[in-house]
Amino acid sequence: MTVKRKFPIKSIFTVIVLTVMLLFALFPFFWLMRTAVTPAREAFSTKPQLLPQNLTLENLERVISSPTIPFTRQFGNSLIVAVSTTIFVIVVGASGAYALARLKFKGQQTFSLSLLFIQLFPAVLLVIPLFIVMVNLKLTNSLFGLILAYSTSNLPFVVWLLRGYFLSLPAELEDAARIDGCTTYGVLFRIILPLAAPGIAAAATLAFVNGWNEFLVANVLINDSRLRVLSIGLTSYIDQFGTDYSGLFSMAMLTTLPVVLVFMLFQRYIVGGLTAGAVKS
Amino acid sequence: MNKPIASMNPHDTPAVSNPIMRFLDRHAAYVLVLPTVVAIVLINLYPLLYAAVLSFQEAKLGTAAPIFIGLDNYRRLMADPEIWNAIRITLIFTLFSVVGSVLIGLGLALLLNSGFRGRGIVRSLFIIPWAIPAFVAALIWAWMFNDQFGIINAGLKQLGIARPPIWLDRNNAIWSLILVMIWKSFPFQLVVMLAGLQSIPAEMYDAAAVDGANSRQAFWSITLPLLRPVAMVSILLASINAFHYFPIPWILTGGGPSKATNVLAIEAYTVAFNAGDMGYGAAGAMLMFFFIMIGALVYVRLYINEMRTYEK
Repeated sequence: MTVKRKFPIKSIFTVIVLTVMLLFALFPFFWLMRTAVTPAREAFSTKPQLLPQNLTLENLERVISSPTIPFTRQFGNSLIVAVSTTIFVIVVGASGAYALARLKFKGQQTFSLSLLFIQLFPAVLLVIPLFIVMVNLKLTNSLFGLILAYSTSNLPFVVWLLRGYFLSLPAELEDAARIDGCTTYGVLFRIILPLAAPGIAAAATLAFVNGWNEFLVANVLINDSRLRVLSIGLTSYIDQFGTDYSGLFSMAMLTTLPVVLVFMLFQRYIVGGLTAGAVKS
Repeated sequence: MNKPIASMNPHDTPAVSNPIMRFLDRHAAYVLVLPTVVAIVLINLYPLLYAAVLSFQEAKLGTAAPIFIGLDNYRRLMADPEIWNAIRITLIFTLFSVVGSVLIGLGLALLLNSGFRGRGIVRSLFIIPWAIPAFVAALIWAWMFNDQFGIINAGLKQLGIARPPIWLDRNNAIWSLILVMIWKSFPFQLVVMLAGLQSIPAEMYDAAAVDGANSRQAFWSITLPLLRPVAMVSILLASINAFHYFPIPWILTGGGPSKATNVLAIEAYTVAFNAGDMGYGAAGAMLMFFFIMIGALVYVRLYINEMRTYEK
């Protein structure tokens, strides 16, 4: 039995600390939404009020129906890119992670070391050579090129996380399936993947969020405004001749909301997945 | 009826009739690992080597073919005061943002682990900063820090502070940047630390309580030592991430004012893209890479030693 002593002082302290920290964590998100739903004149006052006097949806409507910055199209592009990245990275990553966790192959050590090694390299400078590779593969200005780039940049951590998760599963089930005549692929798809669902949910959530939020690579690889994703489309509101802040923050809010929802829906898998996965190295 | 046992050794190839399938199954490890290897070699390793080669060349954007110049770029780096300034700023940024986010993450994890009603909701609210895109986060904070229209200074004035700080000026910008980085990265620490805390078996605390240990003693002799391996991994990951972090500094301060927040990532990026000096920029990136490697190697060493002392 767990011994729990509860002092009122301790719980008051807990409540105060949690409240202050929640304020710190959430205020910027609140402020983003608040700026988006406030009429421009009021939002850009030298005496900003915590709560808006007037609420309006006109900024959001203007952003969604803007003729110059096609929001729905860019939203669709972001969705295609993030979802395809997630699927690709899970299928490829789970296979690689399973080989690493349970099978033997030549160069295994080198392979697992290079997975760690690659993550040490500053992303900023990979962008130039990546651009050159993509030009040679004729994959600039293509959503597929972007999906490929995101999938590979997410692969090392996904492989690492899933490898840890697979290692935490009991090996007896696999042995039993093999004795029953299952191939390695059968074992992977019928036994391992269903058992590893929480770990896969964690990896998939993180890959989705990374794919949705990425900025640098998308900025370099995509030029065509009809192929832009939200993160880049957003910057159209920043202009040499002056920034349209209402438009910028409204689009930022519409870009952020879906990913925050996904993250909150799946957050318990992230905790679980990291417990078994990344942590167990 | 029981199926016949095809093979007693689970790693032998089971009987499959189709020869192609049999081949694929025998070499399953290679088949499974191939896509990952191809993707990583093509999109990660090749550009990495390319950048390494570039660092030994004089390669300027828009000019003729690059020329091999040996270590010249590296000599220039060593003599460049901007680089030393950038290293100093990067170290300050990394140290304080990692310490800040680890302390906050650990503290909140301990509070959330103690168990109270509504803890699941509180936890999911805390990880919101992690989900917000970095460039959006930087835009919001810049907007909040604004000295004319910003909510932070408006609030401070309401509280009676007549001259609130200018958050993004030369002296304060680096600390404002660190604050934003802590805000963005503490949820990861919180989640990992919470995962670590939850993997400590409750029996250990029960046993300690039976032996008459109070909660403070239990914290120092059970919680912290058992959390240490998890914490070391997450601190390493956070340090690597902060050391070459780009988007928030780039959008929030752009390295300024007067280079007061010019971290190495920004220095390398501006040299490569704005000045078009790809070779020199690549050398700067390689320098960052070496720093991170040294840190990582020292760390792995410590980690292995630690594991050995546990085993003894």
